[in-house]
This record gives sequence, C-alpha cells and structure tokens, in this order.
Amino acid sequence: MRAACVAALLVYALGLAACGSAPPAQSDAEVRRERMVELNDRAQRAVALGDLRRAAALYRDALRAAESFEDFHSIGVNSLNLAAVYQALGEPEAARRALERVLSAPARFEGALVAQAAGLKASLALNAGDLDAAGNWLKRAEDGCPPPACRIQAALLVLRAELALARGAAGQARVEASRALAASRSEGSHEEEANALRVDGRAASAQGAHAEAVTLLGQALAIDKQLAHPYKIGLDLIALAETEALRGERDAARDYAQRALDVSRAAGNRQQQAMAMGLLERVR
Amino acid sequence: MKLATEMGQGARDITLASRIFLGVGVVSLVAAVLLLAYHQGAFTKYIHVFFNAETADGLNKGMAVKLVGFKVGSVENISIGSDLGVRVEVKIDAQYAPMLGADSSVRLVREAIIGSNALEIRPGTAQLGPVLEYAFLRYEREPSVENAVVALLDQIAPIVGDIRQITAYLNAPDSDLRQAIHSVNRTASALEKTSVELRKLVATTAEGVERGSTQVSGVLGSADKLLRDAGTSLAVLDSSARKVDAALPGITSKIDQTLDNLRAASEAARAMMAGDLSSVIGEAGALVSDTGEVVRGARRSWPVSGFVQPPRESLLRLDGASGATANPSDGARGR
Repeated sequence: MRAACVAALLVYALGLAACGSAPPAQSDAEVRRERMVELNDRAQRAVALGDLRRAAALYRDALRAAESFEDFHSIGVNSLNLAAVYQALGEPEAARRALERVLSAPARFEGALVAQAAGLKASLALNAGDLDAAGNWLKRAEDGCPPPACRIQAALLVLRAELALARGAAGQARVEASRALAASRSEGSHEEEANALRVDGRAASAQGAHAEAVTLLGQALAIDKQLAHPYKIGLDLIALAETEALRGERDAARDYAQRALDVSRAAGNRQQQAMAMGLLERVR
Repeated sequence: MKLATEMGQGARDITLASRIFLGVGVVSLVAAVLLLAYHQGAFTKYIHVFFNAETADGLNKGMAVKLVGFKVGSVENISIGSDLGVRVEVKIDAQYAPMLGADSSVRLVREAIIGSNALEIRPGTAQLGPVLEYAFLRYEREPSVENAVVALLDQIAPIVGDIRQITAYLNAPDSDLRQAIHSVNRTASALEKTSVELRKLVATTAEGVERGSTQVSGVLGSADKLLRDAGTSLAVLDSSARKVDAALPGITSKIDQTLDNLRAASEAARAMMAGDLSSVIGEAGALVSDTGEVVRGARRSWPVSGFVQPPRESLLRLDGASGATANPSDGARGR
C-alpha cells in the first residue's frame, strides 16, 4: 500500500515535471513548415472573403516556402490552390503555369493531387475551347480518382456535362448534369449542386426549353447568392441573359447582362467582364 | 417562660423600630413642608406699599415687582376707590427696602416686545431715607406705542392744517398767485400772435425768392429728387450692408469653427496614424505573436503534442465551374 502511494507520487511528480518542462526546440524545417501552413491558412481565409488577389499572393508565398524545403505534398497543394485562384480571377495562363509544377512530374505527387490537377487542366482547356484536350485531361482525372474514394466526383461530372454541352450534345449534357446533381447532393456540396443546375439550365436552353432553363438557372443563382460566390453569380446571370436573349426577351436579357457586368466588375474578373460586355452589346 | 420573655422583648423592639420609623417619616414630611414654605416665602418679611393708578389696565394681582431686573415682590391687591381711582397694594421683600428711597416710583413696563407686563421700581434718591411700610409711591406708565402715535399726530396736526390753508389760498381764484399766473398767460398769448405774424412775413419773403428763381428751384427740385433717390438707395444699401455685416461674423465664426474642427480631426487622425494607432497595432501584433508562440509551445509540449495534429496546409476543392472554392477538399489535409 505504501509502495503504491510512493509510486503514484513519483508518477505525479514526473507528470508535473513533464508538463512544466520547456517544449522541444523546433528545427528550421519545422519553423518553415509552420510558416508555410500559416500562409496557406491566411490565403484560404482570403478566398472565403472573396479577396482572390490577396489569396493568390499568399499562395505564391506559401508555394515558395514549400519549394524552399522541397516538400512535394505542400508544393502540390499550393500549386493547385494557386491555379484555382488564378482561374477564378480569369487568368488562365498563370493557372496553367501553376499546374505545370504538378503535371510535369506527376510521380512526385500523390494520385489525388494529380487527378485534381488534371481536372483543373480540363477546365482550363474547356474554357479555352480546346475540347479534345479537355476530354483527355478529364479522362485522366477520372482515371486517377476512382468513385468510392474520389471526393471530386461531382466536379468531374459537371465538367463532363460542360464538355458534352460544348460539343453540342445538349441531351448528353443534361444526363451528365443529372448525375452531377445527384453526386453533389450525395457529397453535400452546394457549390457543385449549383454548378450542375447551371449546366442543366444551359443545356435546357440549348434544347429550346427556355422556361425550364430559366427555372434551373434561377435555382442555381439562388444557391450561389446564398454562398456569396461572385464568380458563380456572374456565370448564372450570363446564362440567364443568354437564355432570355434566345427567347427574344431583350429587356430581361439586357438587365441580366448588366447585372453580370456589375458583379464581374466588383469581383475583378476581367474574363467575365468581357463576356458580360459582349452579351450586353448583342442585346442592346 | 424564657420564650415568652424573648417574644415580649422582640415585640418591644419592633414597636420601637416602628415608632422610630414613623417619627423619622413625620419629621421628614414636616421638614419638606417647611422647606417648601420657605421657598414660597412663608418666612420672608415684607413691607407693603401703595400707589394709585388711573386705570387698572395692565395690572394684575400677583404680577411681579422688579428692581433692576430682580423680582423683589408682587402685587398684593388691586382695588377701586370711591373717586374711581385704582389703588394697588404691593408687597416688597423687606431686605430690599433700605435700597429704595422714599421718593421711589413704580412704573408699568413690558418685559419685552411681546412679553408680559411687570412693575418696576425705580429707586429714588437716598435723601429722603428708605421707603417705609404703607408708604405711597408714585406711579407712572411707560409711554406706549399708541401714546407715541397720538403724540405724533398731535404734532403733525397743526402742520397739516397749515398746508391745507396754503392750498386753499393757492386755489382761490382771486389770490395773488392766480392773478400773476393769469398775467403770464396773457403775455404768452400775445407772444404767439407775434410769432404767427413773423412766420407769415418769412413765408412771403420766401415766395418772392422762389418766383425770382424758378429755374433754379426746378434744378434744385431735380437735385432734391436725385438726392432723395440716392438717399433711398443708400438706405437700401446701408440696410443690406448692415445685414451682411450682421451675418458676416456668424458666417466667419462658423467657417472658423469648421476649419478648427477639420484641423482638430486632421491632427487627431495624423496623431493616430503616426503614433497611437501604430503603437496600438504594434502592441496588438506583438500580443498576437506572443500568444502564437505560447500556443505553439504548448502544442509541442507533452502531453498536448500527442493530441494535436501537426499543422497541415489545406487544398481548395476542385470546382466544376472553374471557380476557387474555399471549402477544403476532403483528405487534403495531411499526407
């Protein structure tokens, strides 16, 4: 009994000594890593606030820090983030350069990162009108991200629907959009839900189902407004303007186009501004 | 036998004690009564004096009689005589009698403005010797306010009568003064007539001058009109100038105040930017930095380090619409 008490006291004293002891000294690598993670966190907060310019600067710093101690995982993550922010800013060339770090040496990076990089590359190619390249990169992304474990399935399906629509296969696009909608709801991703609705709406508009298209696009706009995502709101408004223009409602089309221009100006997205202004000129 | 003897002795003792007690009580009671009588003056020797008064107003039986403020006696009796005079009997402590001369007087006084009446003895000269028993003293009343007023009225009344006579004289139509004023009025009237004549003469002269110089008069009229217009304009100008002049200080003070406020705000902002704010931000930054150090230190320390994952960067989720999404991709954190 006495021995047990002494042992408990010793353990307690050791515990107190351990708790009160100075933390182990950090190595330079650990200090750099902490610095890099801090930059990454700040950049993510800037993205959440819609301050994409600041986010890009912070991701550049984080990428530089990761490259300084050659942490490939961190290099891959920050490269993808930087590419996504550049793409959202309407700067595809900068986005491609950021993605090259991963796609030029995929063996150094994890499969999921490479698959996401391929998906981003497909999106860039799609926006550039290079549908074959988009198809290839999308196929590569899908191959690198098998469904049960892949958490970007809904986004890849949205891209697949976009590609089909770009190829003029509106029916196929609506099928892919329906799958994307189901996947997004399964993943619980409201962003991809709105994306799927938008593609579905555009496909319905391409099929001539303008009323249905306006409804779908209105739903997408409502979600994006709830998420307060300026770039997506701009896309929804442009799609609505195009649909109204197709069914001859020039006033409504002009109104949507003007709203899209205002939003894109506020967000600082030059590519979207050009799209909105072109649409506005068309319906004027 | 012995018991009976002892009992008889006890009874005698009790009887004795009772008698002693009763005796002491009676003596004490008598002593108290005597003491009270002494204090009430039962053993004091008095002399009785009298005085006659015209009226008994203000006099009461038992009222105090004072000598230089000390009570030395009281009114013993007040009675009315066959001649309607009032006879007042006063008793005075005999020990004070040598201090009172035979020619002393008694005076009815009021102790204060709203106090009670009292009789005051005024000691006379010692030439006639001290006052004696049953002596008659002279009585006098202190002049009251009513009497003073009556006396004053008696003095004023002749003056008022004289004034009345003078006024009557002045108001009399045939008085010398009235006659003199009438003469003055007539002279003034004559002067007024003279003045009218003089005014006519002046007007005639002026008319002649005007006839002789019509053109000059016309020019002067125009000039007069111009001057009137100018005067009006000047009046308006003066009025406007006054308004401007009155408003200017307010406007300038407001401008000064605004400039002062602007200057103060600018200086405050500059001071804040230059010193206070930067120091506050610097302190806050240092505090955040210190807090971060503490948190990092705690995170690296055992046993916290065992429960806390090492910091990892987050990956933005791939977005199907080519937009950056702030939500981190699942599994993006960690290796």
